[in-house]
Amino acid sequence: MNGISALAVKNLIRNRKAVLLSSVGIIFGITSFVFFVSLGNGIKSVVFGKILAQLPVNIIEVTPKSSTIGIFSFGGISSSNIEDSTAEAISSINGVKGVYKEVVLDIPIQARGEFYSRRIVTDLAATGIDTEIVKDDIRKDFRFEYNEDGPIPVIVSKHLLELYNSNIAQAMKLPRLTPDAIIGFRFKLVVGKSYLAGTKDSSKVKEYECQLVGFSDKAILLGITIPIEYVRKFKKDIDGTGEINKYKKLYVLASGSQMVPEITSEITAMGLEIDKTRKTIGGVISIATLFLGMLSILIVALSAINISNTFALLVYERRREIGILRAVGATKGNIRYMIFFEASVAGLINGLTGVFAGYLFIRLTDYFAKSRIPDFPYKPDTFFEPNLYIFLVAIAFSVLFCAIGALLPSIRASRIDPAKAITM
Amino acid sequence: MPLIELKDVGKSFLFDGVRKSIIEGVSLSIERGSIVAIIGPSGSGKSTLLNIIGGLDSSYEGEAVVGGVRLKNLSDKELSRFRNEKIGFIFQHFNLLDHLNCRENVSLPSYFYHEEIKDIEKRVDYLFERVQLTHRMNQYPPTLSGGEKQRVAIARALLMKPDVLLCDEPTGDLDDITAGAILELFMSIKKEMNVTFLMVTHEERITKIADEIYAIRERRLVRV
Ligand SMILES: Nc1ncnc2c1ncn2[C@@H]1O[C@H](COP(=O)(O)OP(=O)(O)OP(=O)(O)O)[C@@H](O)[C@H]1O
Ligand SMILES: [Mg+2]
Repeated sequence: MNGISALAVKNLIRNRKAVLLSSVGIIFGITSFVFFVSLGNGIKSVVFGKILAQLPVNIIEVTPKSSTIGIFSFGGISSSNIEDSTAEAISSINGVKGVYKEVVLDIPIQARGEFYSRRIVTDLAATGIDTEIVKDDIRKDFRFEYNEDGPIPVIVSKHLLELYNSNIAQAMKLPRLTPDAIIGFRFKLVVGKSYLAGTKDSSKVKEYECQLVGFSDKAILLGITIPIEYVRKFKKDIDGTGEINKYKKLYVLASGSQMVPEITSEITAMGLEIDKTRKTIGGVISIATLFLGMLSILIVALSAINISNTFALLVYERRREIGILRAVGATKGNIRYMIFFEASVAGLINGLTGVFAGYLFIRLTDYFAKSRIPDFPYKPDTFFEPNLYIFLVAIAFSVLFCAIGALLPSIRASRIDPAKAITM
Repeated sequence: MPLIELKDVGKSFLFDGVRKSIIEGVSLSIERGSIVAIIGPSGSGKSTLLNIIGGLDSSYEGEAVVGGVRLKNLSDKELSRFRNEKIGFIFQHFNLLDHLNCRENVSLPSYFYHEEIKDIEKRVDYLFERVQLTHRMNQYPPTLSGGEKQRVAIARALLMKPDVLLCDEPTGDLDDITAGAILELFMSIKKEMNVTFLMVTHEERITKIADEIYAIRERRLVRV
C-alpha cells in the first residue's frame, strides 16, 4: 500500500466512530439487499426446482380458456374441455410433430388397498394420458403402457408424495416415504363404483389390480393417472362407447423450439390458452425481488448522503492538515484520492459488515423457520439462496455509494487554499 | 545565479469587493547557502511573502524564480512537485500531524514524491539522529515538548534535501533556551547541508546569525 492510502486508512481509524455512525444506513441497506435477493433466489429455486415442472422447450401445454393456474387446479375437475375437432386442428398446424392428450376419467372409481397394515378404501379422481408424454418420468424397470393381463400401471403426482410427507404422514403417524420406497406399490381399483356417485349398475362393476410405476408432474394432483387406453376400456365396459372426444389438456410437441412462437400464436388464435404458470410466477417473484432489492439499494443510495455530510465535516475539520500535506508536496489529485480511498475503504467495510449481517439474518430466519413453523408441502431447509455473486454486488454497491458520497467532499478538500489553511 | 530571485512582486487581497494591497514592488535576490531574516510588524505580509516563495500561493504580480524554477503559471502538479523537492517549511506552531507518530510525520513528504525513494528509511533514521530524537521516533507529537516538536518538524523539512528552508517564526512558540538550541541546530544544518534559510522572525538572536536582514515597511521590502 502506498503512503497516501496508508494515510487514508489511518484517517479512517481515527474517525471510525463518526464514519461508523454515518454508515448505519448503508449497512442496513446492504443487509436488506442480501436478505431479500437471497430470499427471492431461494423461493425461485424452490418453486421452479420442486413445484413447477420444467417442460422441454419444444412442448406447449394447451388448456381450455380460463382454466385456473396449473398448481391450483386440483383433481382436474374442469368445466370446459377441448373438443376433439380442435385437437385435430392443432395437429395439422405447421411444425406440430405430435399432440398428446390428457382426459378426465368421468366414471366413478375407488381404490382399495393395504397401506402399512391399514385397510384403505377411497374414492379417487383419475386422468388418462398419452403414455408417450410421460415416458421420461418412468424408471427403466417399470412400464407405463396399456397391457391386457398385467396390473394397470399408475402414476401419481410428485406433489402428492410431498403432501403426504409433509402433512398426512405426521398426522397419521406413518413413516415418510421416498419415491423409491413406494414405487411398485399395488392396490385394487374398483371401476364403476364410488361412495360419492354410488353404483349405477352393480353388474358392470369390475375390479383391477394396479401398480404404482412412477411419479410425474403431468399426473393429477389428488388422484391417479393411467394410460389413456384404460379410460377407453373403462368407458366401453360401463357405457359401451369407448369414445373420448373431450380433453382436459393437450401437450403439443413442436418439431423444433424455433417453431414454438408461431404454433403458440396459432393456438391462442383458436381461443385456447397456453400454460403461462411458470412465466407468471417467475415474473411475480422476479418483480418482487427486484422491487425489494431496489428498495434496499435506494436505502444505500440515500444513506450516501450521510456519508457525504460526515466527510464534508471531516474535511472541514482537517483543513489545516490538508494544508500541511499540500505544503509538503501533495497535489490536488493526491488529496482527492486520499478522501476517496478513505470513503471506499469505509464502503468496503460497510459492505462486508452488511453482507455478514445479512447472512446472519438469513441463517437466523432459517433457524426459526425450521424450529417454529410447522411443516408444509415443499417447506425447504432454507428459504434463501445466497451466493457469492449477490455478496459481491452488495459490496460493490456499498463501495460505489460511499465513494459517490465522498465525491463532493473530496473535491472541496482538494480546493482548500493551503496558504490559508496552514496559518489557521 | 541567485537561488531565490523576486522581481517586482506584489500581492493584494479582495476585501469586501475592494482590492487591498499587502506588498508591492518587492525585489529580492538570495544566494545559495545564506541565512536571510525578514522582520516587520504583524500583518505586514511576511507570511504572505514566504508563501509566494514556497509555491503555496500563485496569485501574485511580478516574477518569482526559486532554484531555477519560474513559479508563475506552473500547474498544480508542477507546483506541488516544486514544494516537495525544493522547499522545506517550518512553522511557528510546528504543524505536525498528531495522529501520525514522529517517524511517519518525518516520512510524510516521501509519500508525495513521484516515485519510490530507496533508502528512505535510512534517511529518516539519519535525520532523527541528526536532531537527536531517535528515542522519540515512535511517539506521537502530543507527547513531545515544544522544542522536540520543532526538531521533528525540522527533520521533516529536510527529508527531501530541499534547497530552501522557509521558517515562519520558528522559535515563536519556544522558551529562550530551547530557541537557542534550535538556532544552533539551524547553524549546524546549514554548514552540513548547504541549505538556504529564509526566516521570518521577531527574534533578535536570529537577526544576529543572519547574513542579510530585510524589513517590510509600508508594503515595501527594505534592507536593514
Ligand atoms: N487569504 C487572505 N484573504 C484576505 N486577507 C488576507 C489573507 N491572508 C492574509 N491576509 C491579510 O494580509 C495581511 C498580511 O498577512 P500575513 O499573514 O502575511 O502577515 P504577517 O506579516 O505574517 O503577520 P504575523 O506577524 O501576524 O504573522 C494581513 O493583513 C492579513 O489580514
Ligand atoms: Mg505570519
